Amino acid sequence: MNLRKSFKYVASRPEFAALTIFIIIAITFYIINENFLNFRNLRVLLTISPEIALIAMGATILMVSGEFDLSVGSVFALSGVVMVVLTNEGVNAHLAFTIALLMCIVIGYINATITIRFGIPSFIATLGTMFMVRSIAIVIVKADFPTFPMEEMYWLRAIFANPIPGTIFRMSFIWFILITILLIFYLHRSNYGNWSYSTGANQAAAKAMGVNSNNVKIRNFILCSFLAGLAGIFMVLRTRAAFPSVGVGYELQAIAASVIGGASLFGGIGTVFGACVGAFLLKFLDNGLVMARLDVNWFRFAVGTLLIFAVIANTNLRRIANKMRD
Amino acid sequence: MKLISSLLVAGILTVSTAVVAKPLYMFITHASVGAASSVFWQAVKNGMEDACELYDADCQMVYLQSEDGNIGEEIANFNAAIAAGADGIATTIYDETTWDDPVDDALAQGINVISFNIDDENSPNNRQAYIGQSLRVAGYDLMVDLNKRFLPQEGPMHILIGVNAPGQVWSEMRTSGEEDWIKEFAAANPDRAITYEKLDVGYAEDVMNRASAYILANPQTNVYVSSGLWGPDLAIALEENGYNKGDIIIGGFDVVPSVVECLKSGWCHATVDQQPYLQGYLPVVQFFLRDKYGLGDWSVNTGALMLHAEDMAALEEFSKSGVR
Repeated sequence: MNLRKSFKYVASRPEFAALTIFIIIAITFYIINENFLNFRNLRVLLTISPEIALIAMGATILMVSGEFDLSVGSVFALSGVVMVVLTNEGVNAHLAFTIALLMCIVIGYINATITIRFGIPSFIATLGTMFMVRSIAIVIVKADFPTFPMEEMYWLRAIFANPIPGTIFRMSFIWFILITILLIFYLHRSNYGNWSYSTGANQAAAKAMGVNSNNVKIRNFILCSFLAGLAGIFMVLRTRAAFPSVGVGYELQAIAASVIGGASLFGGIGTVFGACVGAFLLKFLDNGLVMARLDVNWFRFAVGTLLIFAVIANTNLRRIANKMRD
Repeated sequence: MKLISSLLVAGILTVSTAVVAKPLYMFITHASVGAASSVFWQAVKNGMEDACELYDADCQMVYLQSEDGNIGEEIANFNAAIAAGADGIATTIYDETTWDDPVDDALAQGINVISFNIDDENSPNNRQAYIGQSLRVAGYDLMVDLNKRFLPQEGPMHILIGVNAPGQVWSEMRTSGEEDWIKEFAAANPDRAITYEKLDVGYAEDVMNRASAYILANPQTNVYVSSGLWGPDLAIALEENGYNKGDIIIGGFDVVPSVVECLKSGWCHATVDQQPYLQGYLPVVQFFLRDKYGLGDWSVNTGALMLHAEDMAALEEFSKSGVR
């Protein structure tokens, strides 16, 4: 009986299918090439995966409340560019960092305002801001491709990006873990989380229950932009280069990671942990295909297959779990 | 979409020509609005704008609204530029036949046409000149330069060719040039084990992920060459994973601050500067000279300049200002 209950609980979890696929893929690639899980490769994977995972977590929380944000890739590019350009202009690096993140918050608020105030689907509203924000990033660097100010960024790199000596981790990974814990608390252990789920599942019912859905969405739009901006800053600090062209296509990768991790495009379903698993799965798959000596031209095919398979698996597992009696 | 974008281009140009009596030079590109944010295309645009200011011309760079290399949309933009009465059209050409008729139409109406950045070098149409890099030659020359200065002169050599944009002509042709050299070199050195593999490495962090994974899975790799400017992303992964400078020879294309830093640090070894600024600047000069004195029809290979660590000091300032 307990076993049955446990299975029902696990199978009904949105991230279960993704986690299962993740484990299978990791083991398969390891069998094909044992270097897949060696320290050097894990160091690379744990460096790049948190950045897309941060974006995916923000996207998932927003999707849970029933909205999308297609501007995350552009925000990812803009935050780093603004931070570096301001620092090169003589602004204190920590202040530039803060301004860049505040700007991301403002973009999130604008996304929310356009969507809620004017009743425009967020898909369209954020498609517009996606172009606008990318344009701003281009204009900012137009005549002065920013050299990374190594000296001024010393402490920011030490706090947010540098490798931790003697380990395979970077500081960005530690921040990623801390943020993940906070977001898990936010979405799964706080009233705002409950209100996000109820808003995404049935906004009219949520409003009837007294939930301020607009307020919930505004918070989630802001959170989504903030996390995308922070990920962009992590990348700039890591690579020591700020390009306005980075992050193109990240919005779709983030949505793919969210959906693979069990989030529903219709709102009301999704978890922070699932988003992480989805994001890591995408990067591990990319890496593993190379390790396995498979043609990487098939990467997009693999992601597409994974996406469809994960959604089908999630849907069926939930159906099975719902049919099971306690 | 094509109709709307063509009407927009034609509308803007008609208004601008009606208001300003300056010569009108149009740059029609295969780059999308998204790609326009790249360091490369901004340098081209900077070159165009500087030349247009100097020669008192009205200029416009037209990007695609859909995706890179949408040939139908680019031709529509080209025709819109003809309809708008441009005095000169600079265009990117990457198909053997598609541009033949539009170029002839433009020439028949007295519009000068120059190809820039990319050209159908094998079967050129009637465009008057090409200002840009000979892509295949550049890839080949990169390997020649690396071999002269950095590649191991004995023993086995395994080269990873990173294709940054599979399917894109600029990327495929450069890596084809690299591949050609390797084949020739291997044939000329039958006593050495010279091998290579091509891999879609993507951009930026994908380069870090895929290229470093490949090198871990194939530890005999000692050279990495690519078609773009993301060698530094691999260099960071190598440095953090305990490799030494020179364990992997890294060569690539273009000059941006991160490439400059990588070359200076010794992790990257050579880069081909295709001088994008010139690709925007020189077509305007040629349009002006042709209009004024009938001088023209001179093609320029802007992309044969090999740069190394010792060239960086002089170049650094220009890279920062988006010129190099």
